[in-house]
Amino acid sequence: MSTPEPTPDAIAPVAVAERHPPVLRTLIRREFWEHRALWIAPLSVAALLLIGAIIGKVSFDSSLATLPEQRRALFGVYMTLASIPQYITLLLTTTIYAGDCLYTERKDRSILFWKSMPVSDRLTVLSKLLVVMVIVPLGIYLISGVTTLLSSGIYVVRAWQDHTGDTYWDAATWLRIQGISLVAVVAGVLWYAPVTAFLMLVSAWARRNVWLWVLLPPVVLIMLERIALGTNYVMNVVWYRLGGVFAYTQPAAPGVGDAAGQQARSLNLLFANVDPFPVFANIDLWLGVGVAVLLIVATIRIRQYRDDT
Amino acid sequence: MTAVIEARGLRKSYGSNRALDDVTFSVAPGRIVGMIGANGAGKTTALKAILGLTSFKGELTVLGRNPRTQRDDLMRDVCFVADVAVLPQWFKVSQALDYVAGVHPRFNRARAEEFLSKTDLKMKSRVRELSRGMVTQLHLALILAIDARLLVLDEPTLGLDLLYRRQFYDTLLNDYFDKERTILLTTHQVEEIEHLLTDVLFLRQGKVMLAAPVETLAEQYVQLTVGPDEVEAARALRPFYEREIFGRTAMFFEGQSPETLAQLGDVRSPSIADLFVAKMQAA
Repeated sequence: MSTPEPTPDAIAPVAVAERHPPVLRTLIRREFWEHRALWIAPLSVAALLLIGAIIGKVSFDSSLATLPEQRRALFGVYMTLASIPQYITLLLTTTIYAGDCLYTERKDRSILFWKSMPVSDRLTVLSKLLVVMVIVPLGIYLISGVTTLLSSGIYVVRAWQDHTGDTYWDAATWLRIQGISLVAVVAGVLWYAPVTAFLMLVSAWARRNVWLWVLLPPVVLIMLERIALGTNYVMNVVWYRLGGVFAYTQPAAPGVGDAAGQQARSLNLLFANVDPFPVFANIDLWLGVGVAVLLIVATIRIRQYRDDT
Repeated sequence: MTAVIEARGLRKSYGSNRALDDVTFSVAPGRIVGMIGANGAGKTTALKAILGLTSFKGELTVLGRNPRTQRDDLMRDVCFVADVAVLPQWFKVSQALDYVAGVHPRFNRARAEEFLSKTDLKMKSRVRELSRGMVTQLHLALILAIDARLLVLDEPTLGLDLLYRRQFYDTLLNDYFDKERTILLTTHQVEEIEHLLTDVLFLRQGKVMLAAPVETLAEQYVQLTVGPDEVEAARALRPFYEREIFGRTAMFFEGQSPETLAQLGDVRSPSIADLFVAKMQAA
């Protein structure tokens, strides 16, 4: 009797393992396969903005700004306004995603398939966290930057074609706005981290009606506090967390008059003088991040031990 | 040889309902074990415990690991089909292949593609567009291309028509199973898998009623069919279960010699399905 030769099947897995791409990359791809709104929504908004730039009737209103610094400020305002739709998209897509990402797999029972693969609950939750807190915000930031660049380019070309000659382009202002936007995106992501983590926790926990369970605890707590203590502490915390970040991303504007020229001048200073450090020096930002970490740890535990299949 | 699954005194309750009540059994490598029980007998709970998907009391090792605390590691060597309906609706066939190839170090993509080439599935098809039978083919192609040591199948063919069921088990036996691998499965259609099982495990109300290799069943259990005149004589030999079939009585004996019984009527080894019914009814 001869020694049995190893069959090709016995060797194949080793070869497969060597070519194995990082698991995390696959998990992230998976999220974009399932939640297609994450990339379709910002690209659609970008397409609409570009179509608007091509066929829309928007001109640079020179009556508002005559001095160079005013024109620069107005350009800055336009660029900022042009990116607002993308940041609304960011807010909506990430909110919906965070509430859905650990719920749909339980709703359609596909969790039994995901759990049949050698992927830990920790890595699964982290991949979703990476998507919602890093990849989508940075992706939308980049898409928005490219969109403003293209749409302003389109305006310049159109103005040149129409011989109005009334165009304005200032690379320094555009770059500064990109810098401010990046700081705002990072600050926003960190500021809203506990909200995102809470949505993910409910997404992993709720048997159904995720959004009801998202709203119920704060509403009930606020009402109980009012009835029992007559205070509004919880409500203030919630409002501060949901809207308070804006108070910190807005720099203290210098004295503003009511004349358009003065407004433009102050806006110009606004874009020149934004200092990101007070935002990141805010202890509440980091306390929120701490809370988010705890909520994410709880979310991982819930996905690990929750059994409602 | 070390057991693939070693369960001792497993317990699990849902409220007052005991899904697992002191369950003890072991599964040796290279076996195909059929876990058979009525609805609510604890089959799915036992499988979930083995797969680390649910909490339980008692001792359980699967491939030498604790399925609850070493689950991620265990899943490299264990594959399971909980129910074919669990592939997500949005999955494309190509994405399913990409995904498993991306996360499973023991997945052989070429092998999965070979399985798929024998079907009508197209790479661009989405699960939501496929019939149940086709989803099963997809899931099967993925799972059978994974070089796992233990395959757990919970009602894998539920809701499939006969053709697909037959195909499923043929593929399982011919293209997948070998002496290194162990398969643990549950099904309602016991008749269809009788011929492929090497071991049976009967569960009733969370308790193990019978755990034995199929080859020993024939030595241990005898089915005797007698006419009305021999009923009393046969009953004296104490069958554990009897039932009437077309005016004759089928009696089931444990540990009786077939030679003695043959003097009273027709003797044969009971089928697993008949033995299961007899055991359950007698209990």
